[in-house]
Amino acid sequence: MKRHAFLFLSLFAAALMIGLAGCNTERDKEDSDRAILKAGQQVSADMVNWVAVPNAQPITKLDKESKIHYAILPANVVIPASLNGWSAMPPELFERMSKIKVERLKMPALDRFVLKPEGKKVPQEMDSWVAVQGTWVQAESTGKKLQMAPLYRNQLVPKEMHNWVAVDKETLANLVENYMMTGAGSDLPKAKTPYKEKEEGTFEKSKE
Amino acid sequence: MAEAVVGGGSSKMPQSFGEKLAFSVPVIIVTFLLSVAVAVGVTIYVDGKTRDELNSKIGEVDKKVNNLKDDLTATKGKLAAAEDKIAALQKDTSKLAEETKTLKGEQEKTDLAMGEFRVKFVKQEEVNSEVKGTAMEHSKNLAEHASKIKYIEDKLVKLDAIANDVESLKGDTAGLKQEYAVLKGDLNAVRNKADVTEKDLIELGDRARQFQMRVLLARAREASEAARSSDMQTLLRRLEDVEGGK
Repeated sequence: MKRHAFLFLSLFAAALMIGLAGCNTERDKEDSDRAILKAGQQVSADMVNWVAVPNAQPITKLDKESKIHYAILPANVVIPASLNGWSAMPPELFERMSKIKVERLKMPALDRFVLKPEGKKVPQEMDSWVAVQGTWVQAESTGKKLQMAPLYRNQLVPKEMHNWVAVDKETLANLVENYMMTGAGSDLPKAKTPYKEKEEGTFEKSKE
Repeated sequence: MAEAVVGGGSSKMPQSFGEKLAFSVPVIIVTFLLSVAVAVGVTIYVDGKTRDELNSKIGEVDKKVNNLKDDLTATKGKLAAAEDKIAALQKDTSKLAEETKTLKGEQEKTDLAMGEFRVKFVKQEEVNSEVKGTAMEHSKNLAEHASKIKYIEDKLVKLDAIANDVESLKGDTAGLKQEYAVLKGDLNAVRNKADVTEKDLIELGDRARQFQMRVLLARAREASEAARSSDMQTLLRRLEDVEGGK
């Protein structure tokens, strides 16, 4: 009888240890810079101050006419690995370069939650949220109004970039090259002079 | 006999005609005398009255005659004055006629002069028109020349703007810079020429266009390379070339 009781207690202790170990937040096995939260988990020491957001994805779109793939970024979304290395820009700039009318997101910025202090339980409503280190997408500018931002996986999109549009490098390169040859400012004159020949030796001003 | 009649009551009444007549003669005479006396008296009375009236009338007539004489004298005076005036008028009329004749002569001279003036005026108008035409032609030429100069200056401004882009390009831009220097020099030289020809403009326009095309290509290539290498600063600088103040 004692033997059975000891065995039961041993098994219970083992299960309790396993259970307690599973209650801490854990990093993703494939991507150690992120974690999928589960309700009831406790914030582990190495994930204190991480930022948790709903596990949403940027909205990807394909413009059928130009065959351009682009993604619209809501604020507080985590940049997925598929957008790693892409570049983001304000929708107005993208529209000027691509002539694609970008539909603005109707959804507001995602909620976010900072994981702290250590041991704090993940509430039920944050089940399946994704937590990442609190690194934000950094916009670059040359001091004027133009801004762009390189995107890296697991970065968070700040509120100021809500509705920004992201494209991959090659698409951006093609867009930029095309825009700089045909867009505003490149106003290449037509292969005509402002005068046209009227009759031998005299000229009249062209209407163009 | 009368005593016989008057005192003879017992005398007999004349019977015969002679007697009767003799008896009536005194009466007739007395009657006749009485009637004559009455007639004379009446006549004297009427004559006196008539004479007074006549004298009165004569006085009035004399007065009127005197008045008429006065009027006649005044009228004669007026008539003399009128005659003087008529004489003066006749003199004036003759003078006027002479002056009219003189004026007519003057007018003929004036008409002649006006005719000559008209001819000269028409000629002057023709000259003016020719001068105006020449001036317009000159203005037109000046405007055309100014347009050509402006065209070149616009090209120069555009070239300067493009040259800024060339300066900021990271790649090898030595060729572009040299081309810019030569092109700008040529544009300045043509601008300073008095007679800018269409050939000059065509050649410069084409060269400027080709240069701008090369700069645009270099700029776009650098931008696309920056995009591929995620060099955001370079990419944004190149985009600012296009965007400007947006």
